[in-house]
Amino acid sequence: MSATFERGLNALREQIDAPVASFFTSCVNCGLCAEACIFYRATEDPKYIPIKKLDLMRRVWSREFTLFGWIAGALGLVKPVTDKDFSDWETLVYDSCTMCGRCTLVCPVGNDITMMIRKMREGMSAAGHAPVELIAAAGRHADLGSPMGELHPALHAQVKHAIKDTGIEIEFDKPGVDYMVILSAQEIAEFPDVLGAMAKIFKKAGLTWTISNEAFEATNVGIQLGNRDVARVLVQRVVDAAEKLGVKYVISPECGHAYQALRWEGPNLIGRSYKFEVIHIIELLDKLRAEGKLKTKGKNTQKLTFHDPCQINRRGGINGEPRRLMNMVAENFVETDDAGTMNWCCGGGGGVGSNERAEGLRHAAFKLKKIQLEKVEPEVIVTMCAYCHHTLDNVLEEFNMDQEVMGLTELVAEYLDDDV
Amino acid sequence: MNNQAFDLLMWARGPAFDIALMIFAGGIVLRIVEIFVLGRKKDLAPAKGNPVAQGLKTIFSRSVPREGLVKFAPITYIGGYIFHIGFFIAFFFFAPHIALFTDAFGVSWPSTGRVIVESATALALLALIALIYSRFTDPVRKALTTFDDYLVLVLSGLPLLTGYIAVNKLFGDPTMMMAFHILSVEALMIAFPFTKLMHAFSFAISRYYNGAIQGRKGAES
Repeated sequence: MSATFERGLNALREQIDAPVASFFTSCVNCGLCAEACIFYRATEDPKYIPIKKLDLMRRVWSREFTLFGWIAGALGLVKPVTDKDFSDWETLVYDSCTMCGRCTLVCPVGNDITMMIRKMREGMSAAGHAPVELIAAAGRHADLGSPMGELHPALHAQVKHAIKDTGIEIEFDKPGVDYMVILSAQEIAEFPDVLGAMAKIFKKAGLTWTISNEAFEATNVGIQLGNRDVARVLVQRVVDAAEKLGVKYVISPECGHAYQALRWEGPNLIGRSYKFEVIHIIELLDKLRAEGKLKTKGKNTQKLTFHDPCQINRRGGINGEPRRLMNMVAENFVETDDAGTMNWCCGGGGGVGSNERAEGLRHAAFKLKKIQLEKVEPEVIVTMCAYCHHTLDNVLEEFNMDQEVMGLTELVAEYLDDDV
Repeated sequence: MNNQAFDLLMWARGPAFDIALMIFAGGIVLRIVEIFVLGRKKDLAPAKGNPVAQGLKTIFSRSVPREGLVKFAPITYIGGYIFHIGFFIAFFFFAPHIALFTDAFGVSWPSTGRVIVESATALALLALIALIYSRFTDPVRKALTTFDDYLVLVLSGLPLLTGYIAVNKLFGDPTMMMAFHILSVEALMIAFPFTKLMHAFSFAISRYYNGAIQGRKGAES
């Protein structure tokens, strides 16, 4: 079905539930969300006040879901929402929000503004007002298996490299194993070393695992675009493959929104719970550490800091795990200001990174991360999201900063104790 | 005795109050029903934390700002605290107000001294002026402000101001001032369900949802 204004408005109406109504009823226009927002803080432009990005949805709620608004609408006292409004809001909802979730944690009346942006994108995309890059990526993902297109050959090549590097066999489509590994396109294309790292760690820990040829892609552009139909199809692929193989766990990789998609939205998208558990790679590593199955030797002596991916920590609840692992392998681990739950976003999440139109804004938004990094002056920034890794690599280059960025799984794998 | 003032006072305390109370209570029930009637789909993702416990906790914990944020909007944060606390003290701990609750519902609680009540009232009024000022001058507040915001600020201030004048017999006819005081409260009650004043009730719902959504994921709120 093609995108139309009517479809957009209907999709938006469908998103309005009790939490949304309570949030809009409670908003006192205090503007305290502004100070939490990376885009407002970097630009100080009031149009980036998070709650203002939801004005369109608020108008639909007020006019159609409250008695007084409905009366005012019937009397012609309030303007109806038009296609132009959708068009006007597109850049606010897609370019100036990474759905990082900081505003949600500071709102004094408890409004989950980020969740509402996610919901508003459902209406925007149905109305045909979404960035072309995300729409194109959704098409590639649906037709070719990944937002970057056909990645089978690349994945097989990377697996061969990993087997050669580590001497450990990695088998595709092996039934009866406990774990199924999925990867983000970014890892396959840009950071494939994570494969060898996982192979080494899992072998030491005695885990049985496989990769499915039918579903190896973890990312879900449907979540960023705000299209439940696309998101559902992509989650269903992973679920079908995992249930066919009969694995006990699917490992969500170092990718922020992939974790959000598979772990938290997935069961709601497909309308049932899974026959397996979803565990994030860093959760798994920390579990193995606690069980004594992950042993390391020696420590990195460089000055390391940690960048929290928003969807994995603030909106995913994985906060202590990476820090326990960091302390296991890092001698000089220094936290930045606001580290942990309130860490600043890299600026590339929520589809902003692939949106060319947003490049200038994304670079401006790096200001907050830059201030954090300049204070600590780390040699290496460790993270647990390949897209944060990619974004940081690019902005560090842009700003002539010479820090190295590294994935936590790889870092841990470097210090595996070979003697045990 | 000024008959006109006395009649107005009697009207304000009698029929006017009944009408205001009906709009206030009926309107609030309607607005709360409007929220819950929309419902919420059952979340099928297995919970990592305890959504109910964290939802309830967040109703209280969100009263405290996150570290380091107050300096970015000091008038809004500090003015907001002083106004809310001041209004609360003046409303709930002034002996004549408690007597009204006792008459209506048979409940009572200890009152606080005049000095505290009057200081709270004066501070709340000053805080309101600061909040209005920030809505005119601060770019963020200015960009968000609508007619509703000014109306609510004025309507919240009038009961404090008229009450202070009436109790201290600062000027005008005291009976008339008391009538104005009660009428200003009634104006506030009538506006309540139609404006953002609703947050005084709905904040508990929205904070609960916020905490429950985050808590389910084992994330902080």
